[in-house]
Amino acid sequence: MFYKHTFIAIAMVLHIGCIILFNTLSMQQSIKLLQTSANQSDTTDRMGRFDSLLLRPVFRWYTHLSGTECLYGFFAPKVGSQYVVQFKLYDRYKRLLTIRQGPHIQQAESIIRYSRLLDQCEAFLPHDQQGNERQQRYVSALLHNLAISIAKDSSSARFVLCEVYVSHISGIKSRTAQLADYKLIHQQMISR
Amino acid sequence: MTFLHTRIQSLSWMGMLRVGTALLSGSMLLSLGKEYAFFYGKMPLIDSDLLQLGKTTPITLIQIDTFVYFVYILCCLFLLMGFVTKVSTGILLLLHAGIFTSLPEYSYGADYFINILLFYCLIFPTQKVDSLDNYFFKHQTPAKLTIQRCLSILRIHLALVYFFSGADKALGGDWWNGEALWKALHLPYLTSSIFTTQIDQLPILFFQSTGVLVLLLELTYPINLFLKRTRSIYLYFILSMHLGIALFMNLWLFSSIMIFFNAICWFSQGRDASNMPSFFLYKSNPASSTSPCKQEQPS
Repeated sequence: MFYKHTFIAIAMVLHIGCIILFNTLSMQQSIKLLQTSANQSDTTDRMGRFDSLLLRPVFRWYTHLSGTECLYGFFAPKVGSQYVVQFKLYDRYKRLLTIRQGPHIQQAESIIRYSRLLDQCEAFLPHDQQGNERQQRYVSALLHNLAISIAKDSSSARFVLCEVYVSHISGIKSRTAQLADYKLIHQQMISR
Repeated sequence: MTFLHTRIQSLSWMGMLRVGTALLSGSMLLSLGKEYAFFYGKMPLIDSDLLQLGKTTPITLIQIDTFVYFVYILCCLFLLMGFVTKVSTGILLLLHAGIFTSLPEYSYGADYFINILLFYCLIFPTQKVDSLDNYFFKHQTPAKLTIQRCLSILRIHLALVYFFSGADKALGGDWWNGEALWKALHLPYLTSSIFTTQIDQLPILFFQSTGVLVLLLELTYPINLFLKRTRSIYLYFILSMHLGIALFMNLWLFSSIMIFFNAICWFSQGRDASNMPSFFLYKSNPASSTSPCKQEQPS
């Protein structure tokens, strides 16, 4: 009985410890985002110590299935922008057929998941971080796939122009007549 | 209300956890309607091999076909009834993780919280109370200590959720000056079409004060919910916050999950209440003679 209680107590502590660990690392990431580049090296070194633990398969399976790797920084430290993608379908003579705002989805949950997919377009924003080029190529491939799927609805569509816009909301104090401004950050022509 | 309160009181806390988790898990898949095929089907919008290039999770992606859909719903029903509970919960957890949380490109908070609830349903003795398993196999009722431990884990987990959420928000300046709330309510995919014009008419002070209120609610969650004196009013503030998120941002499923999570942790502990020390009890109406909850004697 003693061993059972001890085991349960240790398991509880480890479980709670995992939650605290992941969220503390997430907060360090947030601090890193907000700090100037001169001070970023300190936080990077502290995070690197846990990589050997975090990458172990047993640990990864446990944290994934238990949900302890879930981070709770929703809309934190700042509310991120959302991205809108416009698809212009052209025929073989490059005449505009139609403009689509995305796939034909109507369910609220589907819209949320589609917007999560489009959050990947953050890679097209100007960044100073290394590895962004790889991420941009990945997102370009996602957009290519998405454009092909959307063009399937139109039999005469041969080219699709993807235009990625970042939605910029005017500040609360300015409150201009046009609340949302859409800035083009990426264009991509896809042929079927 | 009294009838509902009495019926809820007759259930065990773990029974409510199991039933609520089953309903929410089923709602997650059913809320997508036929559009689940766009994201998780055999012919999705984005090729699954491509999405797996960016995958960082260890579990294999599971694509939904008719069989997987049927098994998922069946496991939800079995979990709801408490029939072969552990097996159905385990299968449902693996399916949920393989479908909804294996691809971060499509996942958001609701998916992860369902994952958490399913995990707790798996490790807690939910099959031993108010279930078909208990009816057929006559399990021994879980010990008081076991119930206390399970409830403690849930409460600590929820307290950490809110604390870290608030702390992360507090790092940025936007939540202190109302900009974050203003922006969140105007995101193109999360805007409620009903209240858009009304939101734009509200004064700046509303956004500033509400933003600070959200921060304080989340940061002080661990303190205020563990203190009996502040628990009631604080809980209603938290539930109001989630109701507001549902109404103004169309995040109905996510808000339902959080409201359920809070309710299961802090509201009626049902039949188990008589076995618990007063620290764990939500203070119910002392005038109700049908309530099995402990009632504080007037001094």
